[in-house]
Amino acid sequence: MKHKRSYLKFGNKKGFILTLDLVLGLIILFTIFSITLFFMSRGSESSFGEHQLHRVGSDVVMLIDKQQNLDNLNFDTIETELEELLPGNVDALLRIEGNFSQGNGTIEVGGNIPNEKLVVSGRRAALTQNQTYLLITYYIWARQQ
Amino acid sequence: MNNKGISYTLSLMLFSLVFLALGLLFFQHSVEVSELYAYSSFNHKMYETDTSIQNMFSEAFLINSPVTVNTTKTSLTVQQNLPVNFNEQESLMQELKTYVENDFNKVNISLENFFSKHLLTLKPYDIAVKFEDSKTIEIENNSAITGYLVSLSFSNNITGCSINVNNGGSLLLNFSATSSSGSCSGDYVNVADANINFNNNGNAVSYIIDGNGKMTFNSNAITTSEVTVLFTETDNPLLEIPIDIELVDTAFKFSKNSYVTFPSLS
Repeated sequence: MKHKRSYLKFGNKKGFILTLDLVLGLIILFTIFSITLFFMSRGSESSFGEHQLHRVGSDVVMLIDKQQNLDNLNFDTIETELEELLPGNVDALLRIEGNFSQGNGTIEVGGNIPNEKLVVSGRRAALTQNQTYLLITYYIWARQQ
Repeated sequence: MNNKGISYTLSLMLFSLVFLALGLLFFQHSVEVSELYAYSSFNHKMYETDTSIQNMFSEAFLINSPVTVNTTKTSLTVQQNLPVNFNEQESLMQELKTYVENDFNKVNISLENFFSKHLLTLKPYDIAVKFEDSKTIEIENNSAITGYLVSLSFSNNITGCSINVNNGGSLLLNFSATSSSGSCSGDYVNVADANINFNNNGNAVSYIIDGNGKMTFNSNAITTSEVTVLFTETDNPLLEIPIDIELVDTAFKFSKNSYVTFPSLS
């Protein structure tokens, strides 16, 4: 008797409820799916870019050091070499610190660090031919396309 | 009708569960990829720190050393004035250690072995050239060593040259000590052991290859010396100095110890 009453009450709305159930189910599914896709793409893309930028920065600074362009601590020489070595789609800033007279012991070569971009940094130790210790901090980021 | 509804609901549930599992899988994957890249970046930073410090110390060693080192694929030559004074080099190394440990908080550098042994090791054979003290050079026996070329130059007279070389071994020995007045020289093959002694202005000079193949050169006189070790050919000889670089990061449970190693071909 009770079952019959329920059937009579909801019988004509069965299709609507099923459709609503399906729609709600799909909305929840696609929401979960979208969120996970977003996390997945964010996780792989940003980290990969960061890793690549770090490697580029490290290689460029190592080359500048190996080619003995840091020996004279000449701003123009370092800047020219930095521009030549950096790939076209990235920009960088080198901060060279040490016990030397130029710039009261700090030289900065390269672009300005952007506020709203992913900036990767790294540090290396180096020694000039006249035995001056240098701490090189580099900041590297993707250039605006 | 009821069976159809149940089947429909179950299918939809299964479908939802598959999607949910797929979603969770993607999420887990993204987290793992992020962690992997973070760890990879960390490793690269550690590698960069380590190589740059090793490179800096090797440059310091080569630039500011009382010992000049030249290497080919078959020989290692050390040139120095005896007695050797390492004070300036030690002072520079100590200064660099202080700078590096201040700037890189994950790095500890130990100079104790370098200061006490003044050891230079040729890789891959592990041929060890050791400055036992300011007047003595030692090279331990090594199966890769094929001979020695020794050239000494003195400003004072050489007297009392005594050369005692025994055959039966496999070493080549070319020994030459010259001065403005007097010399002490010899060229030998198949050497098993050798004992060469002379005086220079009253100061004893000795060159010994003992029965085990260990070479010891000691000079109480002031001399410009060049000792070349000949060895079996190798394409990529490396030099190692016992400056211990330790990198520790507790967050990543990372720890690495290495000596300063650098390519040595002239």
